[in-house]
Amino acid sequence: MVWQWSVAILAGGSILASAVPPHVVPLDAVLLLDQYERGDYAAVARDLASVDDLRLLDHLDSELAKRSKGWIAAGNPSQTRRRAFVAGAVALEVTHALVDGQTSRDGWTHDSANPEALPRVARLIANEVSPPDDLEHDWTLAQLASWEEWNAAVRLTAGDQWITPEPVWAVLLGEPTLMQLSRTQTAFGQGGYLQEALARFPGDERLLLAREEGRESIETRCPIEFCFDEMTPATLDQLRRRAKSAPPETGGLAQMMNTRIHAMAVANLEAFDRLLPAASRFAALANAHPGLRAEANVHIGYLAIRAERPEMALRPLADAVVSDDPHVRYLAEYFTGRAFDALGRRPDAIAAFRRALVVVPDAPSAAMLLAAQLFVGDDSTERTEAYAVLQAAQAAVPRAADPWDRYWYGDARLWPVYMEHLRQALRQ
Amino acid sequence: MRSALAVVMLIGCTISASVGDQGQIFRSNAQSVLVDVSVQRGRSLVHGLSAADFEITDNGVTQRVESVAAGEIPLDLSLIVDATWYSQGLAGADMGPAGTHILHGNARQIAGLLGAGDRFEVASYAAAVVQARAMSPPDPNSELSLGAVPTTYSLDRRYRITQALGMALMAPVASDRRHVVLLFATGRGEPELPSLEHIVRIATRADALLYAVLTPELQDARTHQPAPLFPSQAFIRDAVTRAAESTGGKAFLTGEIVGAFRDILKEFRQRYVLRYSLRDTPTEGWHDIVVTVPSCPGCTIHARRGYMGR
Repeated sequence: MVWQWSVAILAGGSILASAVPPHVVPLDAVLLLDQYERGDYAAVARDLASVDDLRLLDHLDSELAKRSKGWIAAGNPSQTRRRAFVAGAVALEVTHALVDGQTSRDGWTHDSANPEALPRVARLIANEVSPPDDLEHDWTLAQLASWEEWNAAVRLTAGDQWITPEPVWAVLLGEPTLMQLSRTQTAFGQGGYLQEALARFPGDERLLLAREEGRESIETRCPIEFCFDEMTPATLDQLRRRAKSAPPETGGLAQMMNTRIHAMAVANLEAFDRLLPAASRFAALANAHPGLRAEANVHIGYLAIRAERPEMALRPLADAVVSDDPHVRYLAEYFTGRAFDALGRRPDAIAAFRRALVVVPDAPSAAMLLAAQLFVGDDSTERTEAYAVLQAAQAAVPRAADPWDRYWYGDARLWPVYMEHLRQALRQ
Repeated sequence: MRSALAVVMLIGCTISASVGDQGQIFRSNAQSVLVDVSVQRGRSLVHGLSAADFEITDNGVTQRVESVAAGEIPLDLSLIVDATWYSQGLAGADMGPAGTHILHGNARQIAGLLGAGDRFEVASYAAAVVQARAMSPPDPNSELSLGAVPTTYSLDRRYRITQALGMALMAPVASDRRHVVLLFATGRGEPELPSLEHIVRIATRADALLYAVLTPELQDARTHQPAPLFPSQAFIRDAVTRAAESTGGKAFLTGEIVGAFRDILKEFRQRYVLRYSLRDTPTEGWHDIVVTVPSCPGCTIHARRGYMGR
């Protein structure tokens, strides 16, 4: 299946575009554009949610890519720019539906191609020469969240070659192999949307944070299969031993595997050595942009934990726990718990994990670590609580998304917020 | 670790109260403790031992083994299956997620191996832990019914092996039953190593016996020697193996889960269950236990390291 994906992507086309089931009526792209233009966002959302076959969404995406230009031009000339953003918003909605289709439906029986409409409509918007305004800004941030979300989903479904380095950012920032595999729009290079967005909004904090997060993801994650995101002292020792000596000349499969293991160890250690420099860059970002301080401090804390320097994590994380954003506050408490755990301060770790679960009740990441801490204590009531905590976290319908699960995906979590801003701007 | 251990169960026995209400079990000063032990000479199980052959210390205090039973205590089995896409290759290219295949095929066979009074549950893990079957007796007269198996994925790929194992290992064990957790996993994927280390810590204090069936590594077609593992794979296997052995269980490298379980069950049924009444040491808190068999020099004893008193 993986090779089919690769071939399809390299061909730059959809392996499914012509596979609309004969018994269903595909959604009409122009009808969706008209509905959105009238402000009937609920109808568009309802129509997209009703599609339970990814092939139909893929077909709609292709139709939207083909027909948006004509639809924009068909309106009153004074409305051309606004209609371009309407088409852009619909492309974002369809891309979001494709992500949802890939991740929440049966990922094993459907493949999907890259979004076609979003990059094409983005180019149409870029061609509308005008001073930057709020509408364009809202569109820019929504596009940022969409690409982050899309590439996170692609990572799940496309196979091993997408796993490393973190494709969410690798594709965005232009990692060559993934760029070749993906014909999707990258952030930098010719037509790179993040590069163009920063040229239009050079001081925008979300874009600056996105750029630094992308750099962090690429530089601090080992770009080879079977690497560690996080290590323990024991794994670090073994990697150092592996990296120090050349692979033995054994021949055969063992030789091949040893060569890969050696390369992995070297790459993993190189990524490890970049953790603290990355933390320094986030510190500079926090100093220059107070609005990013809490999020930057969360990154600093996590990077320090991964660098086996948990004592360095505590101060920036203490700064971040006062954030108004529950997502940031949860991560700050969660990482604080992990830092205390690494320092052998069990009661402090338990207290931090409890605070994290107050912010996001039943979040599996903190629940697991809180339960583990409680279970290994000498108090039998804590042992009973440990099981209850895990049981609650395993509830079939989570009460809220676990921020730790979205940690790597930047502003993808803000897609609904940005889209609502864009819709409001389009109404005006 | 060869000296890994087994299941301990605690039975409170007040003089007049009957066993069964776990909330009342440990009120008595006379706390009764069950220790699940296997004794091996080389690779063979040693049979025919009596209470007099065993010596037990509980928090350093020698205890008197009052009775030895084997095989009569009913079993609760928690079957945990890797449903990540890494496991797809195990099931064959057209099988869909291996979790589906394994749950609906192998679980049925495993259920058929259980005895009267035994119960089993099934859970699978990928991006989430899903309980496909609640703990209940197998019903030979009806088709095995399993709940939905997850084939969907969330935006993250943090496979929940630690959560699945944590749930099973932390589950309270009824005082009149033995609990076995059977993990079937590829030993691949991207679990977070720090949280995997927590599983090892949890296992050292679990009341369940953990067995892990891990798929074997690649073999060189020419030499038939196993290929080296990536450190990440090796650490996952190492952590799972350490967790299993610290409960008194074992890890097996095989893709054949039913056959492995048959062997596990055979060994499990032949374990000794020692009973003693705790004396000269406080009941509360963690108890370290050490089991020896002086009459069997050179034998390997599999028993767990301790239990939580109440």
